[in-house]
Amino acid sequence: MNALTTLGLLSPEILLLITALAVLTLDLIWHGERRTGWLPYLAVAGTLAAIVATLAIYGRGESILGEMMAADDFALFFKLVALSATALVILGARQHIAARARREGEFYFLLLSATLASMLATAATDLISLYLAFEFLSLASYVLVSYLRGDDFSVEGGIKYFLYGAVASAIMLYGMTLLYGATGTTTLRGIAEGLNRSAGPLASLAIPISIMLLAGFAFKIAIAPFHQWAPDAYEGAPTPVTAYLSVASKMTGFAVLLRVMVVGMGDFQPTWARVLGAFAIVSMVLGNLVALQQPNIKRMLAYSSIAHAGYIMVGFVTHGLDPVGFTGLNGVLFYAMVYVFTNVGLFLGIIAFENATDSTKIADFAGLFRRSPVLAISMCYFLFSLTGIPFTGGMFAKIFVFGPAMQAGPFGLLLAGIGVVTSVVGAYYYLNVVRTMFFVAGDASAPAVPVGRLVQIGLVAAAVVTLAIGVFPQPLVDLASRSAVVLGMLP
Amino acid sequence: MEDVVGSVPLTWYLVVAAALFCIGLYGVLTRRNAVSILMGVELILNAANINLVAFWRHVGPEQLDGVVFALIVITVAACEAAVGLALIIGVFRSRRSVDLSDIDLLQG
Amino acid sequence: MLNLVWLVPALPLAAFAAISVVLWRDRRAATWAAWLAIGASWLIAWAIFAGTWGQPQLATEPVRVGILTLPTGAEFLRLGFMVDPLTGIMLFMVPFLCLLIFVYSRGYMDGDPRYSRYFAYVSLFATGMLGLVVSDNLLFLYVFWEIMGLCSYLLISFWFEKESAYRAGLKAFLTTRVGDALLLLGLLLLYSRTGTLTFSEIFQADVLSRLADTVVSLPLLGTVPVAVLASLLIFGGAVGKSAQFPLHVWLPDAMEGPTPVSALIHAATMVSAGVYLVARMFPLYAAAGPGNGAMTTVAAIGAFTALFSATIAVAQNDVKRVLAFSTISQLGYMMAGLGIGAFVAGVFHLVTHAFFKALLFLGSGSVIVGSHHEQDMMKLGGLRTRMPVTFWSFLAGTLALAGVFPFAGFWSKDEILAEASHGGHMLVYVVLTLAALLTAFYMGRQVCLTFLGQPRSHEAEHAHEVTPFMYVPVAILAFMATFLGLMGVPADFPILGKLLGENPFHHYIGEMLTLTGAHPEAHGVNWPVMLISLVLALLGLFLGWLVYGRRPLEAGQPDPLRRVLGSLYPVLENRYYVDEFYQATVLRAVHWLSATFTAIDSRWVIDPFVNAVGRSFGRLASRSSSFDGRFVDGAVHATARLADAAGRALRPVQTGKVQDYLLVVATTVLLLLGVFIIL
Repeated sequence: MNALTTLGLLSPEILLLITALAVLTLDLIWHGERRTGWLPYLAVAGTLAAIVATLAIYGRGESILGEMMAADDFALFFKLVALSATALVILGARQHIAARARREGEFYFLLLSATLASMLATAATDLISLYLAFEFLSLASYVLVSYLRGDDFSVEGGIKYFLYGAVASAIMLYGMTLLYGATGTTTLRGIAEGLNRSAGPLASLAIPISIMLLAGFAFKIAIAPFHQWAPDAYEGAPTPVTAYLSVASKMTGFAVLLRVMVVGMGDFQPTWARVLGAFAIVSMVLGNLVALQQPNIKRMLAYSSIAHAGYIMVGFVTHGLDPVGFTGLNGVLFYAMVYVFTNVGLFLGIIAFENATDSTKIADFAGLFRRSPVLAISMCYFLFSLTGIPFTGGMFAKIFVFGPAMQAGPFGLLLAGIGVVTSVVGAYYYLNVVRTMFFVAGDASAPAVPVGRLVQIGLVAAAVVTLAIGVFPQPLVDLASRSAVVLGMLP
Repeated sequence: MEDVVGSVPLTWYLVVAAALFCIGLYGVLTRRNAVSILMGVELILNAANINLVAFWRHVGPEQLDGVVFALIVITVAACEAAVGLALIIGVFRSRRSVDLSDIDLLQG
Repeated sequence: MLNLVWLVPALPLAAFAAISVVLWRDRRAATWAAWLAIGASWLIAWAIFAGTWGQPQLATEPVRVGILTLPTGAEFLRLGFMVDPLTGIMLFMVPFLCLLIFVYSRGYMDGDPRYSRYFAYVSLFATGMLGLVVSDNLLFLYVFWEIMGLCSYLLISFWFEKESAYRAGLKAFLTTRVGDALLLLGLLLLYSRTGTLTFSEIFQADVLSRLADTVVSLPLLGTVPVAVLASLLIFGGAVGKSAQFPLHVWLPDAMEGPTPVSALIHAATMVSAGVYLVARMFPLYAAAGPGNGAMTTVAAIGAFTALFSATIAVAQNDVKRVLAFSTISQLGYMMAGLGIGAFVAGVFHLVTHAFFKALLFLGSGSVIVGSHHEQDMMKLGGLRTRMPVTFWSFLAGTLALAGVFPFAGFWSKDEILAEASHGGHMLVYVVLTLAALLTAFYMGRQVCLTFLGQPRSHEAEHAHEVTPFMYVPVAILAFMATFLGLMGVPADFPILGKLLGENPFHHYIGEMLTLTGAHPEAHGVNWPVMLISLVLALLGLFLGWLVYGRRPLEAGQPDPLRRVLGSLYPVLENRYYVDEFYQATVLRAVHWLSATFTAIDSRWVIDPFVNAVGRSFGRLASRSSSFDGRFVDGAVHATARLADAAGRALRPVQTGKVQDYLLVVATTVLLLLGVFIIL
């Protein structure tokens, strides 16, 4: 492999890095609203360029940088997920951040850095690169959460997120060192061989060690019982950051979890599948029940995202229970992509509302339909998709994780059953927002909610994609299946 | 010197590291001051470093991955401390306190 | 031609999209879009129906049109649409009724501020119903089922400024969701046992016998064949949708919606989707042999509901509520018919009932519009001369529903009764016959109170005939209600049987029974049964006239039945207090829980967690007791409240202190480590 090929396979990351640095530099030298107004366009353009580059190298599938990274379709799929999320979040962030913080250029820089870290993490095939990318992502996220330095909630959310994350990743690191000691190598492929070779005492260590690793991954995913940072950080963070954390950061956690567990711990799948299955059950039940009680929509969506992490985990557990084929895995990938567009779409609506009213209380959404029918209807559509109502991507996503689970023996059936029942509970709190917007009379004299042009673009894009997937899921199904099959075929 | 290091069994290093890990975790859970918690985290990271270097010495000294990992961990720990202290200062500015039991505006 | 079946649901969907995105500003354009789409659907549907007529092999080898191929599990799920005789007969009925009611709506909704939105909703509803009947698999069926549920909710609470309308919509949505959850479970069970959701694959003889032979053991019920369990769960969905006891409480309230909606959704089509579902899954019900638990349950619930709601209908005074309970009762008839194995008779009644009940509802809508929105029968009267077209059409519908020769209801109702008597289901027969008598009585009562005598209010005094948009569809339906039954006249009925081609309906639908392994055979005319039911129908109508028609009521005079029935009358009037019963049980359960937790609270004060749980239940109890009496909704809310309480109890775990969170992390990790190291 020559250097040029490596550069080609890294082109999405390089493009994103250049964009991030350009944004940072221009933010320093440009002054005045007229010029800095171009920064979000630049950031989005860079992200779109990275998406194009990612699509261009799809299907190449090679290991690069001395087995440190893999540019396989699996990683590329999750890069698409992260990049799409970033593009949408930047569209929503402009007005929100400009009104609340002194500099906005830094914000885009941090966001792009976090995405860069996500992309590296999804591709990492070695403990060292994995840890590095993971910490890079975490550090950028901590700063993003507490970006509004004058806001008590933002700062508090940031410090809690930081302390929780630092401890979780420290435990994960400790587990990684033990894994290195047990197998003498840091590459995932080598670890799998090492664990396989010595069936004796090492094999019995593998599961405890993997549990320490799980602390780090589960923290990123925000799956119960490693979820408790999420409601506080989500509520405190600036809303665009909340949107970002709930999709990009979460899905990166899933990508890493999938790769480490399938490639590195493949021989112990049935065992950890049960542990993860238990996490999924706790998440689905707890997330949905507590979400019922939340008066603040950001916090409600935090719990909802915990529940969705549970649903997605069901797909992965199915694969663990029955590793023949990649049936549960493609469900995870499909769900990840759908969730990005649905959830960020909803958050864009919330951002628009918050920009106008400075409130995120569900009760304040009363009468929104009267004030801004288009905004209310689009939010309603995203809520339907989260509920899993037909003609939304969300319905197919649920089918693809619960469907395979039903065929994976009694445990799978149990997971699917709990998933279905808890999603019915979920319908109550999603539809409650719809009810508030449409049927509860609000302040009749309140003016229409102005929606900025960038947010409009984002809303339309998210709605179109969610609808397209809901009506014609086949292309995404194929892409997800193709990308899932690749996992495990590379060193 | 070489002999001294080599003659200490691997287990000893691991026990020290495990003890350090536990002390760090204990500190994280019991200390109320945010800075002390940060120090607890650093202890856990150092426990990991001891593990890494000890394993490297005993498992595969011909490759450099263990020490490289340790160096990277040290670097990351420094970054983490920098970000962490900045956040703690931010909290102190708004609350005039870094006592974590007071920082519970967000709950439920 | 049959391959175009996908167009049938697609056209109204296009109309829905066009109206809601582009055309909503322009009422005329919205009306025409909806009309054209449903009209085209209707033409295609009747062409398809004509193409399937006389093609018995379609029953076992339906035409299938693939739409989606999804990789789930180890296999591929092929989903699409299909045409077989059962689909064909539904395609005969549904689009035609939709078209008539769309036309009628033009008159009824005239001047409503949300006129365009109404047409968007009903178009979407048409998509749901038409999609449902052409689906070749349970997944699509479920999807369209839910679309209908959504539309029903939106249309019931269409005038959401009215508190009662909004509440009724919510009640319908939540109540039917109970059934939907059961249906989904049934669907999952079938999928997990067969790996497919396509009807033709489930109805393979070997698959069915495997389902009938494998048993699962359940608490309380003991061992049950999978086929029976799945059938029962699916029936749960049908009970919700078709408003059968005990989930019937939503349908009477659903009359808060616009009357054409009541006619279309809550009388003719959507509520019969439950019956359609049972008919569609009939081979599964029959798989475990005749008289199995599933069939018996269907028959018992159906027959009970038929009688139960017929008695309630006797004591209702709202024009539409009488018809609502009548609908529940007639749906019970169909269920009972299917439950005793009278597949053809059940489907036949489904079709005829759709026509004459739509007629009755549209007629009542005309009455409401004509008499300036007066719905209380005690305040109507004397409309015969003021609204002649409506009166004669309504009368045709009444005779059809009561089962008078030769109107449509006579043939279909009689066929169910004959099958019940023939198959030895005497209890079902007696119950249904009693219900038939009551049906004739309350319809006689309704006609006398509404149309005969003198007006009992100012509104009725000044009633006027409605616009042609409204009375033309009604008249067409009256024609259908009179003559439609003739397609199912028993072959050996004197003169008519031979003349009409020896029961063509039975030849058409009966082939579906070959899927169950049985041979479709039509029984001859059962003269005693037929005469008894005819006599009872006439007797019922006569009694109705005797009480209400001979000496018309004066304004303000109480219902004479109140004196006759004594203390029974309030019970019927209040619908056997079922709503109140749900209310009482739900509240009691919550109170009991709160008391229990408060007791725990007082004993374990030290533990803050338990404390929090106790407190929150205490709060819940105080809130719920203040709601007492006002909060009318049923058992559905129990689940909601329990989930609510659980969520509330879990919230204090999130203390807001990051070290508590870390403690949870450390505990989890150590616990799992411990578990795996020890094991």
